[in-house]
Formats: sequence, structure tokens, C-alpha cells
Amino acid sequence: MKKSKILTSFIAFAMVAASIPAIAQKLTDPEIASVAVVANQIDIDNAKIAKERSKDTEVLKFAQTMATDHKAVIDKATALVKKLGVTPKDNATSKKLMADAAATHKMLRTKTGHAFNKAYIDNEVSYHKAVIETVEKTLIPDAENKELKELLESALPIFKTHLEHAEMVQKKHMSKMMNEKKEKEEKEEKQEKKKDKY
Amino acid sequence: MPSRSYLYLFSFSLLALGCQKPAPKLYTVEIKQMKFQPAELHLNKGDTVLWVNRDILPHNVTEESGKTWSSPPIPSGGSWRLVAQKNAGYYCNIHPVMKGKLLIE
Repeated sequence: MKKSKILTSFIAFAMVAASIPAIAQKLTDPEIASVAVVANQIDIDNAKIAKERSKDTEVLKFAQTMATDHKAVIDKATALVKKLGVTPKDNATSKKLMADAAATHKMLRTKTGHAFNKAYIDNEVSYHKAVIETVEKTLIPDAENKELKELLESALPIFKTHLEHAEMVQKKHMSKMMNEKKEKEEKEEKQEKKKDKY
Repeated sequence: MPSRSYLYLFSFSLLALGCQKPAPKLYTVEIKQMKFQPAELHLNKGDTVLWVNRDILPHNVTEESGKTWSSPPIPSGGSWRLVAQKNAGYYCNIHPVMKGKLLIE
């Protein structure tokens, strides 16, 4: 029992230790280009699911903005890599982003109504936080090419604005849900009182 | 006596010039790094504001309180102008966290 516990702990430690160097390793410019394109494409795909599953005006408007803006960033990145003659190269970070996104998309497709809106917008908040951190702490410091670094720096305020926008929609959605819950409870209370009268 | 008339005429001209409204000016607000720059613009009634989009994304300017005026989407590199008539808070209705103010002096 004790032996198996030690073995399990050792395997878990080895797995974490093995994954760190792959992600912490300095990324090359072709790898950075791949991460940039993948990260933007993931949010376009998130928006596509929102357009299919949501009926909420605020959520749909936000999703449309995400689709338009991230497409503009991809177009800019694609034009730059073409100009620089760089071929985006898959790497541990872009693969992890894709794997996480696949799980998120699967989860989003199981939800409807308010539950979907909440799951989508909550994910947008956490996703943009993660992307901002990756761009600030990994992609910009690792980028060698000046134009690639500048492109990443110009994309950062876009992602920060998206985060603020997502938090705004999240707040509105939360208060909308609370109001609806309150109205429902009041209605039920009134009906109960009516029943008691008779 | 004629010199006194000239003095009156000169004083009157100065007074008239002083009462004249300043010529309308053109102010530029750059939309850069997802911000209106400057975010607050002090100007006179009748001045023109020109918003120039220096970002890679489309933006818009919409009056905030009653949506009394709104631009079409301003593409990257595009611009839109408005003659300012009164104080206004405005925002980008594509990115509603982007806000600015026109303050009439």
C-alpha cells in the first residue's frame, strides 16, 4: 500500500516535472507565431458556439466582437509571418491550448440557456486572463523579431479590453439572473399566499 | 475733434472684435491602443472633432446618454467627424468599455 502510494507520487511528480521544461522552454519565433494564431482561433471558435447556442443579445454582441477582432489579429499575424518567411510551428504551448479548448468546446456544447451564457462568459473571462499572462510573460519576452514583438505588444491592449468587456457582460448577466430568480420567488410566494386564502 | 472721432471709431472696432466668436477649430481624437486619446476634450460649441482610427480593428463613436449621435463603424485607418454642440459622454459600441468626453467650455 505504502509502496504503491510512493510509486503514484513519483509518477505524478515525474509527469509534472516532464511537462514544465517543455512549456517553460524559450519559444522560437515560428512557435510564437503558432501560439498567437491558435490562441486567436480558439476564441473565434468559442464565439461560433455562442452564436449557435445563445439567444442573449449582450452575449451575441460580445461573441461577434470576439470573432471580428480575433480574425483581424490573425490576419495581421498571417501577413507578418508571410512577410518574414516564417512557418508557424506547433509546440507544447499551442498543443496545450488546443487540448484545453477541445475540452471547453465539449463542455459548452452540453449547455443551454442561462447555463450556457454563464459558462461561455465565465470561460471568456478566464481565457482572456490566461492569454494576457502568456502574451505578457512568455510571447513578448521570447520574441526575437522586432516586428513580431511589436505585433504582440499591439495585441495586448485588445485582449485587455476584451477582458474588461467580458467582465462587464458577466456582471450584467449575473444581475439579470438574480433579478429573474427574485421575480420567480416573488411570484411563487404570491401564489402560495393565494392558495392559503382559499 | 476729428481725432476724438477716430478714437471712438478705434475703440468701437476693438470692442466689436472682442465680441466676435472665435473661428471654429478642428480637434483630432486618435483611437489608439483601444483608447480615445485624449479621453477628455475641451472645446467650444461649433468646433469640429475628428476621430481617427489608428488601431487594427474597427471602432465606433456613440453618444452615451441618449444615443443622439453615432458614427458608422470606423475601419482601421478611417476617420469620422462631428460638429460639437453640447457636452457629451461617448463610447465605442463595439468595445463598450472604451469611453471619452466632449466638454464645451
